[in-house]
Amino acid sequence: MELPLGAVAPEKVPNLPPSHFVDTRIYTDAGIFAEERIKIFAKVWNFVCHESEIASAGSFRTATVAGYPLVVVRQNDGGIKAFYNICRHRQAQVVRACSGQAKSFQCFYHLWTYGIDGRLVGVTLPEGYAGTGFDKADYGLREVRVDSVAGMVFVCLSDETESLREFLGEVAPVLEKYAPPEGFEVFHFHQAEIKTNWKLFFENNSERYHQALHWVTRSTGTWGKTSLPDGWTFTRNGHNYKPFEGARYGGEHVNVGLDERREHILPGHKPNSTASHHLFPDLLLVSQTTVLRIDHLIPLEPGRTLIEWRALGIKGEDPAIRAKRIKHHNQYWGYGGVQLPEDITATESQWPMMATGAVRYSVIAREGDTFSDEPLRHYYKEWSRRMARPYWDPFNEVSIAR
Amino acid sequence: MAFSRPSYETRQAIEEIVLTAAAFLDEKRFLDWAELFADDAQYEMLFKSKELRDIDDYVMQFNKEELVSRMKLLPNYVIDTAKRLHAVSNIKIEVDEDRAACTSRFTVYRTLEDGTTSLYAVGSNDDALVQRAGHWLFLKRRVVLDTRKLEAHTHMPLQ
Repeated sequence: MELPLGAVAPEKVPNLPPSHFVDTRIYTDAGIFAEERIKIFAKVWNFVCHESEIASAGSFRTATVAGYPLVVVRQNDGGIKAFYNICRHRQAQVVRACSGQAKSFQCFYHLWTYGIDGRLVGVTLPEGYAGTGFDKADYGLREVRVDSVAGMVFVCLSDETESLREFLGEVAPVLEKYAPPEGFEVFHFHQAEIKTNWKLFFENNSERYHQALHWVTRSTGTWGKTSLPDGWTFTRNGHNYKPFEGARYGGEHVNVGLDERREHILPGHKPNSTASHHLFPDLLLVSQTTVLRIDHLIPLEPGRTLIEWRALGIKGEDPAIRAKRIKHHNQYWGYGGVQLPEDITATESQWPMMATGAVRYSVIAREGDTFSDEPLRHYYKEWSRRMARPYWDPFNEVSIAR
Repeated sequence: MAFSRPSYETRQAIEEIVLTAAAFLDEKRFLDWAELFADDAQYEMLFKSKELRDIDDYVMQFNKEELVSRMKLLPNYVIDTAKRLHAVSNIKIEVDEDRAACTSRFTVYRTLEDGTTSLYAVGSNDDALVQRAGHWLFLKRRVVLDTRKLEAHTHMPLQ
């Protein structure tokens, strides 16, 4: 007879400081997943797109934040507005394309029409509303807070949350330092639904210990065992960053299949380097000297995550230079790059094992070197603060067991 | 160049290389697959990005040397363990002496360790071929994916 999942008693609580292990139910529990939407995603600033994706007046991108459908639109005055993508009449989806150019938005169902500024400008057969008190001015698209830093557009569903700059804190000027004067431009976008919890992919990018996956028996990693200086910076609200690690591309490591990166270097970067910025809760910015990659995680279910990958070059650059950047992106972190598929395979292998409940506690106890788990502990400290649940004891059981 | 309908023998020879390429990928004979390309060949895989105004969004671009290098590296990677089946259909061929243009549609299926099969990717091939020393070889293969959202990532070419 098969035992139902969760029927196995948990193992002994680790003999570690509580902050140094994770109860894996924070990845698998459906109640916690639902709570994350309310306590985290509906409260924080969420990345939705890069400004270059909505470059001209009327250009738009749709997005989903905390399960809510949104549309982000460039305005005639150059500003950006964001709205719930829901018709105020009978709640049909207003904008059905993922991107495009619009002079107005018309709901396909009863043809109510909205300006790009969200105002309701047209109602089909308006005489039917005469004498009912109906006023078009009351039925514009519901607006959402929107702001941008370093060309990255964020929205916030809560009116009570601090400003975007306050939320990003000292990371904001760091990101601005890297932005070229001409601005970045997205040249690649793809997405995949991966079968794991969203936080596990964030972790994968936030710790370097997993370089073992890429270099122990093979040569697909760009970091050797000794090429990593320390230098993580941990900031308020759970963000962290790590600039300028030496990486190996080309040269003696040409067998890795990567070109040297000494030309067309992004502002603020060194040749053959990499820099990582990890923004709580769901945004990862990783540069590979010549290309900036943005990973955005969109939780779908406890064990299912939509990830959007963007790659960026410099706006208006020479096509030959852009072609180099595209090649560099594809060599390493693209749809068919050398490393991204391995990271996904690793994180997808974790979740179904965690979901069995056979091993409850996950170890994040490394200290003091480049391969420290401190980035994970810093991240989960913020998660715990917002969720009002310790990540090592989300159901308040460990203290009893001890 | 003036392309025209191929002779029966030429059509058979070109169909043979297109179907052999798919079979080599089925069998994970990656180096054999790369040898179907001429020394001056180009390989590209891309999709039309709906999110970025229908631009050509390249995901693989290799010359012959790079193609061989990637195929040699593949065994070093943690690759997708699923069995893949590469089906090719709707083959259209036109020739001009020792050059040929061939278009086809493709479907890739994945079968997992537990035997579950799913549709993985679909798209089209736009091939330029050249005849050298009596053999047809790919001079350019342009793989245009309709599938933009993947179920699993790939180090491997899909066509």
